[in-house]
Amino acid sequence: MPRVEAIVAWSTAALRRLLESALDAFLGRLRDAAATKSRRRWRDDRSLVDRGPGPATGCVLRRDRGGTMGDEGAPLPTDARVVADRRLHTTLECLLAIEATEVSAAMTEAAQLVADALGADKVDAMLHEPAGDCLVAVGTSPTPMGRRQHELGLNRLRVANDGREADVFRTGTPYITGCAHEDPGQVPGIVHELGVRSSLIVPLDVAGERRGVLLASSARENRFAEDDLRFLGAVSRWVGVIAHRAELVERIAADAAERGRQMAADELVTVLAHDLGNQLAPLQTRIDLLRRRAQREGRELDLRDAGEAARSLLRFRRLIADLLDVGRIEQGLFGVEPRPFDLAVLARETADTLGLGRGAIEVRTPARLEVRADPDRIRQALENLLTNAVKHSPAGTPVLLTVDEAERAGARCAVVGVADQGPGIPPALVPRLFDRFARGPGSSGLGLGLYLAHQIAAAHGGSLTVDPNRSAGARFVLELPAAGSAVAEPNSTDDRGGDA
Amino acid sequence: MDSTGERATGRTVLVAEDDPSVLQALRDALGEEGYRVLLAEDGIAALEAIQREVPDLVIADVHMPRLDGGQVVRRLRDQNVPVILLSGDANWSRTPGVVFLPKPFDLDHLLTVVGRLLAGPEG
Repeated sequence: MPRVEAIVAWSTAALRRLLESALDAFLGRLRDAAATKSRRRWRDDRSLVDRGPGPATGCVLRRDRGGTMGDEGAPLPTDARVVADRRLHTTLECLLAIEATEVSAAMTEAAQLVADALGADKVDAMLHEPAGDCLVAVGTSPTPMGRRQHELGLNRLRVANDGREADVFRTGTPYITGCAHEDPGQVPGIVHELGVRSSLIVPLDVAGERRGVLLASSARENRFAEDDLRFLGAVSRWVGVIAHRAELVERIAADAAERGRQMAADELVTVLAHDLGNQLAPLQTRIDLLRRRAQREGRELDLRDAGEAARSLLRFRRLIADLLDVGRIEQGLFGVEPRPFDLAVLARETADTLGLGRGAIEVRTPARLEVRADPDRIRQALENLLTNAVKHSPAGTPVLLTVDEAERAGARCAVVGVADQGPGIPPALVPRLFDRFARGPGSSGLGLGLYLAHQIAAAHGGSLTVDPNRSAGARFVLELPAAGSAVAEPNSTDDRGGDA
Repeated sequence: MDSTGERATGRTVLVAEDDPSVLQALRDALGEEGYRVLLAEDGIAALEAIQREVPDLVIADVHMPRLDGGQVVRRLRDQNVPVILLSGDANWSRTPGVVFLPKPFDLDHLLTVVGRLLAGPEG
């Protein structure tokens, strides 16, 4: 998907530029500090670092804690701080070269770099997984001890089980030991099965938030010094930056992929609905032909069956029309053609022609109420609301359809209410009631009716809401800008929903 | 409904549609109403049929191979022949002066529109 790749490439390049700029500034300060303290010339030899051919994987660190000699035999700085700074400098350079497009791969590469720099048998970047309250090694150096750790299942540590990793995660206080086997606070498996004797653990923060720990382990006793702990602390901040960058890239990629899936699904829905419409055309015509012949020749049973078939087909057509509308909304093609019409008449007609059975809908409207809207779309919204209400009504209890006029913020509007006496709307469903494909318990539809009715209301500058004060059943309220005033006559009451 | 057939006797309707099942269904439906029906399986075939005989009305699918319904309408502009366009895409952009019916269409409605267009302004 070219769009996804472009987004990932752009974000990676932008983050890299940002990090490079920050690192330059940081390293500049390091150099200044070292120059002031040692008052020695900083010589750019390559004694600590061998560079390979590639920017990321070719970066190899060679550990040399005792100082170095230049290639011409000249004395080099032996000051421990300078050596430590050089090691940090080189490690950060290599960390920066990591292509952080995926968290696990980036953390594994970072762990290997840090293991090389420390001469550790294993380095882990562990992130906290809230769902299981575990510290999970999302990146482990691919060293023999690292592989053994995964075989033993020690790459997931429950915080509740304590251990030094959990302590550092909770408190943020770094930890160092050269005699792990003598520390009762260690996780037993790490000491006895993995054979860890020396350990460094520092907190790992991502985007300013404690997210895990970075730890280095060795099978040798007293392998690490305080300098190593400081080094690991400094490196952990950059590992956190890499983790953040990789998470952002992963999120962008996931969002883009989700958008791509959604677009593909919408396109599929549109094409499918269009093709279904084409396929139904001859079926509809043939049923109509049978009905017309039966009518001509007075065949009552055939006339009834053809009518039933036509009604089934009509329901299917409505479903296709709904799917097409979803596609139009997603593509920004959904529109309305407003014109003045009598909403009271349309409400009564809709209840009449819906074919829901006599007495299914009780209608209370003024004699007239003119609005400026798209009558076809308003009819569609009313049909969806009424069909939904009847579906959720107990047998023998009519749905109440009301049309009134009200004033909202100084403007007149038409208010259509559709109330049923069903079980009401489950509270968990209310926040997503008007979402696409939202379905309540026992619902047999696709979950498009209320979504489309809501979109139709919004397209008219109106609203569709659910009455929050309803104690029993559900009541939906559709409000539309009014174009005229209701005729001041008593509301007419009628039972609708006769056989269509 | 019989009266429609009596009214329609002698009038010629050209149906241009690439889906044979729709084409045949329309042939039967219009035939039963007394119309003389000419059939074309695409836009080019429709124009060839019109060159041989100008019908009283054209019913054409929008999406057809070789020449679509919209182009057929443009070629017929000088012939003063009424046209009904059919399409499974209800969102298809409409052509002024041309009746558009989305598929699937209601046969009663289609026959009513056919009758109205053939009756002309005086009818």
